[in-house]
Amino acid sequence: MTSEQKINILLVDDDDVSAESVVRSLRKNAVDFPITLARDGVEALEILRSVHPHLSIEKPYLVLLDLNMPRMNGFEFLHEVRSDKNLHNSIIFVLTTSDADSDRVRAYEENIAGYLVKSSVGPQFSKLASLLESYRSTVSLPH
Amino acid sequence: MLNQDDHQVSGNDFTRELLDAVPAGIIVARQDGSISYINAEAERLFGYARHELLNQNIEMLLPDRFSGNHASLRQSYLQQPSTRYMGAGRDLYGKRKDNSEFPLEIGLRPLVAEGEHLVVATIVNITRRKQLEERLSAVIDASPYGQLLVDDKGIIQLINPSLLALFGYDKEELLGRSMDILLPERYRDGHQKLREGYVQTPSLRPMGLGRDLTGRHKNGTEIPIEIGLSPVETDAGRMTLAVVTDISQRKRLELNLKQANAHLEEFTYVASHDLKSPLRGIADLVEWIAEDLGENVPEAVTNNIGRINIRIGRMERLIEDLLLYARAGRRHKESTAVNVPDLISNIIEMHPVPAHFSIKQDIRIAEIFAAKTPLETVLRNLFSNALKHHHGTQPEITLSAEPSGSYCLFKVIDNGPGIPEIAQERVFRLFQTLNTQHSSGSGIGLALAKRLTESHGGQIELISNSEQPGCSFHVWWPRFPRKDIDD
Repeated sequence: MTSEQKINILLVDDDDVSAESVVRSLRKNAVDFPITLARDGVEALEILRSVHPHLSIEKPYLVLLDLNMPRMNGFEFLHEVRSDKNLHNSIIFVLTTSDADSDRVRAYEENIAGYLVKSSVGPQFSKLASLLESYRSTVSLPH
Repeated sequence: MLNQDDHQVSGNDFTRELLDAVPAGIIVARQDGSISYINAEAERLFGYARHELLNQNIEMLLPDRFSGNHASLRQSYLQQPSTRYMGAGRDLYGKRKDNSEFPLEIGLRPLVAEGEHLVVATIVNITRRKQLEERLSAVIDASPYGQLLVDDKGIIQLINPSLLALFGYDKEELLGRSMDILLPERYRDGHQKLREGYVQTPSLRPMGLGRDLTGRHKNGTEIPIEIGLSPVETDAGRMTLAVVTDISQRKRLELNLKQANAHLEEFTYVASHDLKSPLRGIADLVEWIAEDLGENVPEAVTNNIGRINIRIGRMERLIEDLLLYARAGRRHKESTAVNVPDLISNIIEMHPVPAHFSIKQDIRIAEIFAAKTPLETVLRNLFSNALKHHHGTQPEITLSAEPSGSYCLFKVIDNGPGIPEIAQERVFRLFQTLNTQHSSGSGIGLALAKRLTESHGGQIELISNSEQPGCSFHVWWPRFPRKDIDD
């Protein structure tokens, strides 16, 4: 039943190369999630709240969130989402270069689904692709 | 009659002798100030013979500067005679026949004998006590720490120049006043209760344990201070001696250190994130370029892409090492008992040692108390360094440990090429390698070892000389918990 569910991904990252890495990795590993790209927390919130002029996303979705971004960073975004009653149950993975304990602890305080350090999700994000693939096939998400 | 007379005479003699035996001067004066009686001790004190003083005016025993006023003081005493000390709160002096002066204390009591009103003065020479007091106050005055003596009501009785300098007052502005003036206003009410509590159960102790104490300078500035209290018994009753230390300097250093650590923390973050991300981006882009170029690529291009990748790898390793180095300045707080033979064997076992190497151990200490992880890192770095740089024949490395005062001295000795004298100074610096880029390290090993050793209270030294081959690294690591390091 869940094996064929479609998951939309909202990728929030200000670095276009880093974002493209994720996209390429998923494509290379034949994981065909529709991906929407937001360049910072502000844009991501607009998309989730359906107030963005061009972009939108449908449920079920999950968010891959970078931490260090201009305008609204990852932590600020998490805080906004958790205090928004329409969005507070969003599934959010943090995907960052920072392996600082302080960041990890602070991110989990915001009830994230997982903290992924970019350097440890394998060459070309291969582990990220397989994680997402098995996530889709085994986890039932809120609709 | 005769017997009775005899008895009376001998009774007078007895009384006279008794009064002469009293170790305090006794002078009896009439209302007009003339002396009617003087005992032997008073003669001695003032250096006169009895007949030289009898019927003379009492003022002749006073220094000239006091004698003018004395007559009127005497009159007012006669108006309201009582038993009391003379000149409360003032220093009194007597004048000897030779005009020299001495400090004295005088007790007064009225006496009516044969209808005549007399005043009995008891005189004690307090020269010795004054000397002791002066010596004590000289000691207090010479102290580099602020000191003040307050009575049970919090009135300042004694204060030294250090304290005056610390709080910006003159002596006259504080003596006899409540010590509250030295506190910020918001603490004054609370302090009174604390002071009363201390007076109930005085003891030798630091004040305000666990709280930051603050004094108030005359100009309103607040001063962070530390205070030690001790009860002191004096003639004027029980007092409290407070020793006050200005800790602004220390507080400032503490603050600077905290800020420096916070900056380092931030630097670590920047290095871990902001430097790594763009580098990762470059690595990705290079890879995509290679992918997009496909098969028929000129060899020079493939070659140069390879050279970019090597440099990206080196850069990533440098960033990691920089992080390691930054974190090495942070001290591990948990010290445990470390079994030294186990520690050394562990280091040797964990490291791949080429078969032709001979590894020796010379352990003369069983156990030390230290933070294990940093110590292990230091020794492992030195050991791997010795292995890595040894290209000679019959390579031999010795690891030794021995007690050296309050330290454990570890030595890592090799018979390798040694380090040229000219380079010895820079081996401990960051990113210094003696070999060219072929060496696998970024040049962090020894810098890291030094920083770790020093941040844990130890010392590291390179011993290498031209007479003997090889080099030897000495590491002194504290083998007992130390207050200045662990506190």
